[in-house]
Amino acid sequence: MVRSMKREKSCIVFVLLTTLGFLILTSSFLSAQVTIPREDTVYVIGVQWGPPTTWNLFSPSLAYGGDEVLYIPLFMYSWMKDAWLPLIGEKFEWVSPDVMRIYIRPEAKWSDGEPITAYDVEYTFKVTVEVGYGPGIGCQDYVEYIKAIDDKTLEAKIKDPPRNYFSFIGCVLGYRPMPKHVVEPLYEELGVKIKEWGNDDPEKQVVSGPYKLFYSAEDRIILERLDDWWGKDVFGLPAPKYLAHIIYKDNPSANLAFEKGEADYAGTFIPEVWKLFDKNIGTWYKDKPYYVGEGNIFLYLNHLKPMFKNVAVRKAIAYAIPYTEMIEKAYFGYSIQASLSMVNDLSPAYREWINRDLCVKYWGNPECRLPTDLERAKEILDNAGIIDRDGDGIRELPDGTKLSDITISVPYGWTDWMMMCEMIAENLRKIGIEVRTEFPDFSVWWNRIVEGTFDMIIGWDGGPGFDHPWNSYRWVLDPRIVAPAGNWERYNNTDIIPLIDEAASTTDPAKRKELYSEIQEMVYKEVPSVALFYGAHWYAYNTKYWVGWPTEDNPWWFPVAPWSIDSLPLLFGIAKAGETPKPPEWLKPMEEGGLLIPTSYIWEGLAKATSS
Amino acid sequence: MISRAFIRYVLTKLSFLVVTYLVSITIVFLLPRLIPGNPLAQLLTQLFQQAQTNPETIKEVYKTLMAQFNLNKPLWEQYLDFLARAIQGDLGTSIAYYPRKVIDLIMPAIPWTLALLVPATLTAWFLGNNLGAIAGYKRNSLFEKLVLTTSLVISQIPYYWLAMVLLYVFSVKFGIFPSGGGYSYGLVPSLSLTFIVDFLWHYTLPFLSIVLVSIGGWAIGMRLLVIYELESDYMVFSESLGIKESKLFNYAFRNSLLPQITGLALSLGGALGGQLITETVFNYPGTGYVLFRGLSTLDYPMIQGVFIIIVATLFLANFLVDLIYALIDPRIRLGYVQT
Repeated sequence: MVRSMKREKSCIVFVLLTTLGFLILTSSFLSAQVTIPREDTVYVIGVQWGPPTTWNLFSPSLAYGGDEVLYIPLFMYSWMKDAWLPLIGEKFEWVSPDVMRIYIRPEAKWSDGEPITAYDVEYTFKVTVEVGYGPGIGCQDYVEYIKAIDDKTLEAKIKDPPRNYFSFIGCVLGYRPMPKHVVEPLYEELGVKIKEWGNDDPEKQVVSGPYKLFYSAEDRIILERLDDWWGKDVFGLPAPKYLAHIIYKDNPSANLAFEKGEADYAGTFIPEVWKLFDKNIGTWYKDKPYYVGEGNIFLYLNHLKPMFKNVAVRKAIAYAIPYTEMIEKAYFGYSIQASLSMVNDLSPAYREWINRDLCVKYWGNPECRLPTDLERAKEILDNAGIIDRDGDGIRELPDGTKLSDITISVPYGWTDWMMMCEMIAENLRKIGIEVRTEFPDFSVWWNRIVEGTFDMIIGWDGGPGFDHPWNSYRWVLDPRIVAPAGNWERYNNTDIIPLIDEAASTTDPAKRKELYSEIQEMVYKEVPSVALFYGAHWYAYNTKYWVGWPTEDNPWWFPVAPWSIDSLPLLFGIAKAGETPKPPEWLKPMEEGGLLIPTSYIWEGLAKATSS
Repeated sequence: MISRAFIRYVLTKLSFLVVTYLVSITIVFLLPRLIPGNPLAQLLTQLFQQAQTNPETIKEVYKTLMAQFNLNKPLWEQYLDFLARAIQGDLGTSIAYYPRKVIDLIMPAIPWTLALLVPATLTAWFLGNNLGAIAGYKRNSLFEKLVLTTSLVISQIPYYWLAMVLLYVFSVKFGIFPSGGGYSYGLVPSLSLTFIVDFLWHYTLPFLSIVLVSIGGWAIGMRLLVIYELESDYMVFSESLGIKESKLFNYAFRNSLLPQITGLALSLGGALGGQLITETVFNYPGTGYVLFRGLSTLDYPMIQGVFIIIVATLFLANFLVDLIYALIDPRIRLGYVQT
């Protein structure tokens, strides 16, 4: 070989060797070789898109598993069944209209053998309040105290004012304790810096749930089942021995893996999911809308802008939106139009809150689902004196303000919502309002919400919970809330405040219904923002390795995405492909022999405590 | 060789470098903050997903986080704080991936990026140079025409398009190679043979996508340099003396190599920036993707951290190239002595 090439070659070999040496030094290549068997693992996608952060509940950024399967709550709420599953907690009772007692299961233990006690709950809450983040953050406004009466008895008192039962019950029943014997020494040492604790050492992790961390790297998280979990005598053990989450770079690569059977349980947006049904993939519904809608998605109109202060403009916009068309075309038919009452009527439990008479009176149908009616929209604007005076096709308000140069925006990359913006803008242009679309980066878009500089955006609300629809009304309409914590559209109607407050503090469901009706009437008169559709809750599964997933034909649990904090029960009822899955007995309501406590039980107990 | 003039030259260059570095770091600090976006967006919306949507929670968290990251302090205060920490090697805590430290997020990605880019760049450089040199030497032959046209075409192919094509053909259609990742998802990294084989199996497609596209560029450059070199006096003289072909080729090759070495050094220096799209297409855990994530979530500390490292390696590579040039090229050495 030519001399220069020889020297070049040795140069290259040298560089390669040094690189290899550097690689070995900087990577952790020295652990023993371990593999996890495919058929014992449920692979999950859609929870994380970035490297794992922490499994410490005092940190605002939790990695997969933290509050899904590692740290479980006292009671877990199911919005489709409107019932509570007693996990760490066994039962509760109202000792007075102000005070609730919760009894912790005698067998509840941390993974290191220490019993889970009421003192764990009390201490966790104390640290949360002092540190500024943790389980129950914000609850201090509704809860006077949470204290331990003895090892297994917890007592909580509601704060009055504001005497908000919704928040109180949600805060207390859904509480996720951290182990006091682990947190206390850390907190004494780190103080506020406990927020930065990683809790990522599998040897040291102490959890309350049936899984704990097995291995994590920049691109994967693997959790392993604790076969001696304290709950196995009450609940049995979940089926998968391992839960693994590969962290993909983006949606398409994650979905590709799901399609190939490399992932089993998906919480991602999958375009045209019906085309994958012949590849072992399934969703809740076999047909449209495939997914179950969750929280309301709104078109928020910024009330700080002059044109949206006019009721006629808002009403006209409501009639001009192409609801069904945009759900079909932009959203692949994955949802249904929302009710303007802001009540999610997909769950039978919430349907009773819609005042049907009001719906028929204002909108002509008993569900308050507006038809798209451009003529009606134009009529409303004409009648309000908002007409096109100078013949350029754009209307002006009576005071001369042109309805032009209005933007509708969503973050760039949210393709389904981007398309909806285009469709809404087009319809609004047809009725004489000049709207153009804008798709800034997510953080820029978010900043506009915080500062209140947007015109129109598509956004979300709190989502269903046991305090639905109160939580939606509060999020969207309460003028006391400051963005981004809610009230993104800056609606300022103080008349609604007493209604919202009383709905939260009344113990009488009939009175609550009355208050909701009053709120709904106000919404129909003012149309502060327009409820468009229910945000689809992404739930899809692949039956190549695991079967028994809940569906509409087999609804033993509700369709819950892997990132949902109530996804744990789903893992108990699935089975390996080839075996027969059996939904757990305890997942039935109490009157059918299961453990689920209906929400009505809470209100009945409260009513009894109030009257006695 | 190591004269006073040379040392003065090195010191001037170094001080220049430090000043330029400080200026670039300041720019890196300022620019993301000028974007009208909110760095807490990512964190806060994650909370929504974790069903923490009651207004009190959001309000408290927002307050806590603004204070945590000094976002409510004036810009000059944030800058001084950032500088003070950077000098001590503390690149800060990521906002979007709190509480991970920036250095912890970047460090694991560096070996993967280096492992991918260094061998790929070197291989492309080695193969490209040889192809180009032979083509330049054998002017007007069929070989030269083939090399030139193929290189021109291939070097213009976007490397990410080639990446996607390779992925589609070899992974999706034929299933020979995996669809992505640095290593199989069931494995845990170790020095075992199984792991190394698996690593190489996942390594092939990303490696090929970079090498194939880069060869063309190096070949074209080298061909031109060799052709130029062949015109010089000493080459013509040597040829007329009847010196062996292989020796003539050796002379031409060696002397044409200098600019290519600069190019190589700069390529390697920029390697830590990672190949963003290749990494995204192949789900490869490198620094390009870390930077992209930092930019799209407007994670100030992450952006600053990655750029500090990239700019440092680039400047270092630049500086080393200057030194190496002085060492291997006697003409430049003489130049220092004269000034």
